[in-house]
Amino acid sequence: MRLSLSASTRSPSPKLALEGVALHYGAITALDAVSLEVRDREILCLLGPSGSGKSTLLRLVAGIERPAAGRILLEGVEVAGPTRFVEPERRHVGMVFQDYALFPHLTIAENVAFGLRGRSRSEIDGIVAALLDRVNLRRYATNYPHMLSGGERQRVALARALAPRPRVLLMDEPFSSLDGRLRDDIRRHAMALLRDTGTTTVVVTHDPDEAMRIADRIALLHGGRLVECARPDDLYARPLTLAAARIFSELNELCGTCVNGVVHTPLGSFAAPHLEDRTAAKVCIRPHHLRFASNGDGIPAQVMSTTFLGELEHLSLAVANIDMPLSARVLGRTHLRPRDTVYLEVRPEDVVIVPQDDTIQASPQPSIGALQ
Amino acid sequence: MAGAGRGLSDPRLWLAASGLIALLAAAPLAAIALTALQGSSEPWQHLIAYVLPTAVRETLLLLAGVGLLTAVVGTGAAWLVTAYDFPGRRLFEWWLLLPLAVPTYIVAYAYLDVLHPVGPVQSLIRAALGIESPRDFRLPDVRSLAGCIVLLGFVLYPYVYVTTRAMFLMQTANAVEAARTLGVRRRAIFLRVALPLARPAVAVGLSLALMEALNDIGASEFLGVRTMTVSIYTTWVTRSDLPGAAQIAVAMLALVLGLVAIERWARRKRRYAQDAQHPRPLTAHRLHGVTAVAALIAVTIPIVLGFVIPAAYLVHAAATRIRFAGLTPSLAGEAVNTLAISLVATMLTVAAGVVVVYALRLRQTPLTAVLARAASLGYAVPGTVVAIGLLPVVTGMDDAINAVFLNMRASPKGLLILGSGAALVYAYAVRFLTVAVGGTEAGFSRVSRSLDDAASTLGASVVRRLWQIHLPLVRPALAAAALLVFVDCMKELPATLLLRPIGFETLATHLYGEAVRGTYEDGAVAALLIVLVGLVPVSLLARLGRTPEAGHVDATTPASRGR
Amino acid sequence: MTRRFATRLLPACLLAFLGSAAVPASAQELNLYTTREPGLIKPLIDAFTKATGIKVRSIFVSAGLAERVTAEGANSPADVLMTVDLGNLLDLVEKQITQPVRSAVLERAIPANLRGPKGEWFTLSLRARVLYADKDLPLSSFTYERLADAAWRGKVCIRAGQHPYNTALIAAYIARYGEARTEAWLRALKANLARTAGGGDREVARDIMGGICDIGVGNSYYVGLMRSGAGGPAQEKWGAAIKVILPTFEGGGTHVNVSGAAVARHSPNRAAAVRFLEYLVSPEAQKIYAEANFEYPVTADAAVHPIIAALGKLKVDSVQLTDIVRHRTTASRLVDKVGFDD
Repeated sequence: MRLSLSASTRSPSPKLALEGVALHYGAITALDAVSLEVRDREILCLLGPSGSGKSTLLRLVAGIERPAAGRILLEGVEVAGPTRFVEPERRHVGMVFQDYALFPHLTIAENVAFGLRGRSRSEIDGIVAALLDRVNLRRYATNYPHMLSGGERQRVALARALAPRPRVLLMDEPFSSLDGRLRDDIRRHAMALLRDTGTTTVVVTHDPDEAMRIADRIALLHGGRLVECARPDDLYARPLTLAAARIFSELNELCGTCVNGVVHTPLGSFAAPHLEDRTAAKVCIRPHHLRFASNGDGIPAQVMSTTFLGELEHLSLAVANIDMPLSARVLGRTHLRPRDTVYLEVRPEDVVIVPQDDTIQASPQPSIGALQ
Repeated sequence: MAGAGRGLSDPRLWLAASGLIALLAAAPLAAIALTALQGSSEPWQHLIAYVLPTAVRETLLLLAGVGLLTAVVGTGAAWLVTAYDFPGRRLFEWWLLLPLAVPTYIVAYAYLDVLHPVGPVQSLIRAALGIESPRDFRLPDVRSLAGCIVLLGFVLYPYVYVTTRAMFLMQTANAVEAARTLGVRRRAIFLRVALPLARPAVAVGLSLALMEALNDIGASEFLGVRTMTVSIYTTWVTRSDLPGAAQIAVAMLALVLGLVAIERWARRKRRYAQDAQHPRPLTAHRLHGVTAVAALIAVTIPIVLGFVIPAAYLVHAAATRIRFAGLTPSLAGEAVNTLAISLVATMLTVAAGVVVVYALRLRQTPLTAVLARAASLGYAVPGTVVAIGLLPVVTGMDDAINAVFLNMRASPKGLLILGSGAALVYAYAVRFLTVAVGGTEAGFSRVSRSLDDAASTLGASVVRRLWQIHLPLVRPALAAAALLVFVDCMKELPATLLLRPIGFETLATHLYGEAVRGTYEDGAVAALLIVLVGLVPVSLLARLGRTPEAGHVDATTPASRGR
Repeated sequence: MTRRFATRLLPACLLAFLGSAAVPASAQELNLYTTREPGLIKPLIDAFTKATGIKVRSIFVSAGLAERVTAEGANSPADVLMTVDLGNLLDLVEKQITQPVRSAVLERAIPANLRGPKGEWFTLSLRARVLYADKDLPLSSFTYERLADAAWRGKVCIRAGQHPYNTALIAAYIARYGEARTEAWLRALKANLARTAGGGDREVARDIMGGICDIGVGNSYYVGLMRSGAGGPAQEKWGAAIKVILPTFEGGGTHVNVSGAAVARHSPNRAAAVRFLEYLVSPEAQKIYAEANFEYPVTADAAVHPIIAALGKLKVDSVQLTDIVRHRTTASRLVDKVGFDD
C-alpha cells in the first residue's frame, strides 16, 4: 500500500495558519499574538528555550487548549477563533507526545489502529501492517508498550499518529527522551518517513542543532512571542534579532551605535544598512569567525588562556577597549600561550548586526563548550 | 456504547450531568438545613445547655480515640506486612482486611455478650480462679467510651490499613533506600521516613474511619456512648423535635466539613507525590526467630479482635439459634434482596462517581471541583439524617411523576420511587458517593493526561476516551471503590429502615428486627450472613491490592511534563 | 466483562426493582406500618389472615414512621399505623396522619380512657413498668419513689432515659409530683446507677445475674419472654436470676404503657383496616396478645398468661395516660438536664 499521506494537489491556502493567537494562564502570558503559516509538506520547527510557549502553541493547534484571542486555520478553515472551536477529535491533526503517550493496555497494533475508524477490519489491518513495516516494528505487533525500548516506543507513537493520515502532524520534543547515537538514528528514519509521505509537520524542540538538521523553516519563540521565522541557513547567517543570533552558538557581542548605516567597534566598522540611524546595535561575531591574520595587520589581541578540546582549541582573548574577553575557536592546535599576542581579522560577511534588545538579558559569560 | 451520539461527546453535557448528581446528592442535606431553620431557638437553648456539651465532648473523645487507635494499628500493620517478610505474611496481608466485613453494631453486641460477667470469658476466668459468683469478681464493663473506642478502633482500622499500604507499596522504596544510605537504621525508618511520606494516605483512610465512627449509631447506643449522632436520634425520636435534631445534624456537618477538608487536602497532596516519582515496590526484609514471632503476634491481634472473636461468636450464636428455632425461611429472600439492592446501588454510585470525576477531568474549573465536593457530602452525615432529608425530596419527585401521568390522562403510579426501592438506592448513593468519587479520582490521577490528549488527537470522542482509555486503565481503582461501596451498602441500616419499600427486608433490617425484639442471638444468623457475604468483596479487594496493575500504568507512561 | 455486566445487568436489575414495586394494594390487602417489630405481632397477623383472607404486608419503621407517612401524603399505602408507645401514637394524631373511626366493636371492647374520643387511636394491649431485682433480695413490694433511695447507690440498672419506655415513666412522675420534685428524683436515681443507662430491658436482668446491679426497671412482658424460654436457653437463665415486683407510686398504682394503633388518614383499604383493628380486640386476638406476647389484654374479660399472672395483681395507676403523655417532652428534657444517659 502506498503511504502518500497528504493531498497531492497544492491548495492555495497554507496548510496551517495562526493569526494573532494568544493564551494566558492566569496572569502569565503563555503566548502573545503569534501569527504563523505552515505550508503543505513543509517541516517547521518551533524552537525556543523552555517556557517560550512552543509546546503551548502545539497544544493550541491540536485543540487541547483554547486560545484566548486570535484564530487558527487548518487548510483555510477556522478551527479555533472567537466564535468557533473544533474539539481535537474533529481536527484530523496528528500528535506525537514527548512521553509518547502510548496506551499501556493496548497492543502495539491496537495502538496504531486506535485512530482508524469507520473502515473495514481488513483495511485497518492493512494500514497498520504497512506502517509497522515502515518503522520496522511489525514483529512487535502483538506486544504491549512496556515491552518495548524507548526508541521503539517512539516509532510506535509516530506510526500511530500517521495512521489516520492527519492534515498536520505535531511533534512535541519527539526525540528528547532518547540519547546520543540512538537519537540520531531514530530521527533520521522518522524524518525520512515524513518526507516520503509528504506530511506537513510541526516539530517542537529546544535543541537548535536538531532544528537545523530537520527543519525546512525554523520559527523561533521567546517569551511567548514569535521572534523570527526563516530557513535554517538564513536564520543562522542573517538573524534579525539578538535572540535568533544567540540561539545557535556562543557569541562575542559588541555594543555600538548605528551612524549613517555603519556601526563602529574596536574590531572594525561594519555596514548595517538594515538599521535605522542612531539606534543602539549589537555586533555579533561567532567564536569561529574570529580569524588570526597571518601577516600581522589586524587588531592586536592578547591571549589570556587556551583550552585544547581535541578537534578544536578555545582561546580567550583580551582586546583593547573591549570590556569582556573575546572567545575564539580554531581548528587544530595553535600552540599559543598566555600573554602571546595575535592579530584578529573579521570578515564583514561573518558579522551579524542586530538591534539592541532590552527585553533580552545581558549576554552570559562566554564559556567553554557552549556550542551544542 | 462506542457509537453513542454526538450529544454525549459534548463536555458540557458531562458538566451538566455532574451538576445534576451534585444537586441530587446535596438535596437531602438542603432539606435538613431547611428543617433546622424551622426550629424555634428555644430547643436550641436546651441543646446548648444540656445536650451539645456532652455530645460534642463524647464525639471528640471518641474520634480522637478511634483516630489514634486506627492510625496506630492501620499504619503499623501496613508497615509490618510491607517492609518485613515473616511466615504467613501473604495471608496476613489480606486477613488484615477482614474486619471490614463486620458491621460495627454486630461487633458491639458480640463483645457485649462475650465479655459480659455471665458470658464465656468471665465465666472461664472465674472458673479458673475458683470464684463462684460474678458479684465477687468482675472485669470492667465494656459499656463505656473506652470500650467503644477499642471496639470501633479494631473494626475500622482496615480503612487506614488499605490506603496506607497502597502508599507504602508505591512510594517508599526510593526514599527508604536513600534514608538507609544516609544512616537511618531500619527500625527508625518507619517513623522517620515511611510514615511522613504516607501521611496523606493515612489522613485519607483516617477520615473514612472517623466518618464511620461518627455516624455509627448501633455500637454507640449499645455501649452507652452519647455521641452527636445518638443525640440527633433521641432529640428526634423521643422529643419528636425534628428541627432540633436537624440543628444538631447541621452542627455536626460543620464539624465534619473540617475532616472532609483534611481529606481533600491530603488527596491533592497525594497526586503531586505520585506524579513526582516512579513507583517501585519496597523489598521486604526477612525476619527470623523472635522478631518473626513478634511480628506475627502483632498482626494477629487486630485480626483476632476485629474479626475472629466476633465471627466465632456469631457462628456459635447462629448454631445455637438454628438448633433452638431453626432457620427463618425469609432469610434466603432477604439475602437476595440485600445482594440485589447493594449491587444496583453500587453500580449506580460508581457510575455517578465516574461521571463526576470525568467531568472534572474534562473541564478542570472551580465549578467542577465544587461539584465533586458537593457530591461527597453525604458520607459526612449519619444515615438516619440522610434518610429523613431524603423523604421529602423523594416524595416530591413522586408527586411530580404522578402529575405528569395525570397530565397524560394515565393513572398515577403512586409512590414510584419510595415504593420501589429506588429511594433506597438513592440514599445509598448519597451516603457512599464519596467513596466512589475518591477511588475514581485516585485512579484517574494516575493516568497521564497525555493519554487523553493522544486519544483525542487520534479522533476519539469524549465517550470513547472514557470507555477505551480511562475505564480499562482505572479498573483496579474502580473495582476497589465498588467493593468498598458494596460492603458499605450491605451493612447500612438506618436509611434502609426508613426508606425501604413495604415488604422489602434486607439482612440488616432482619437483624435489627430480631435485635429489637430483644434477643441478639436471634439475629445471629442474619449477622453471620452479612459477614459472610461481606467476605466476598473483601477478599476480592485483597486480590486487587496484591496485583499492582496501577503501577504498570505509571511505569509505561511517565507523567507528562512541561505543561 | 465488566462492561457487559454493566450494560446488561444494570438495566435488568433496575427494571426488576421498579416492576416489583408500587403495585397498588388490592381490596384483599392491608398495609401495616408499625414501630413494633412485626415478629412480635406475627401470630396475630397470621390469625387475622386466616380468619378473613386479607393479606397483611407490614413494614417495621422503628423511627420516622410519622415522617415517612407524612411525606408519602395522599399516596401513602399505609392503612394501619401501630406503635408501642402511647406518646408516639398521639404524635400521629397530632400530625394529622390518622383518621377517626366509629366502630361499635372497638368502643365496646376498649375502655373509654384507652382510646381517642373520636376514635383517632385505640389501645390494643398494656404492659407494666416493673422492678427486676436479684432473686435473693428480701424484697416483696416496691415503689418508684424508692428507686432514688440512697440505699441503692450504685445498684440500679436501667435502659437509656431517653427511651420512650422511660420518658413515659418519668412523665408519669411529673404528672404526679411536678417538674421540680421529678428532677430531684431523677438526679438521685442517676446517682444510683450501677452502669451507664442504656441497652435493653432484658439486659437489666442479665446484668443483675452478672452481679453488676441489684435492681432495675423493665417491662413486664420481657419477664414472660425470658422465663418461658421463648427467647432461648440463655434468657431463661436471666429470667430465673431475678424476682419481679409490680411497683407502685406511693398511694397509687403501677405505671403502664400501651401498644396501640390507628387508621391512617389516606388509608386505601379503610374497611380492611377497621376490620383488622376490630379483630385485634377480639377474644381470640387478645388471647394471643396475652399468651404469645405476655402482655396485659386491653379487654376486661381476657386472661393474662400464667407467668404474668404470677407477678401479682396489676393495679393500674389512676393518673390518666393521656395526661402523662403531655409531660413527655418535659421528661425528655429533664433526662438531658440531669445528664441521665451520660
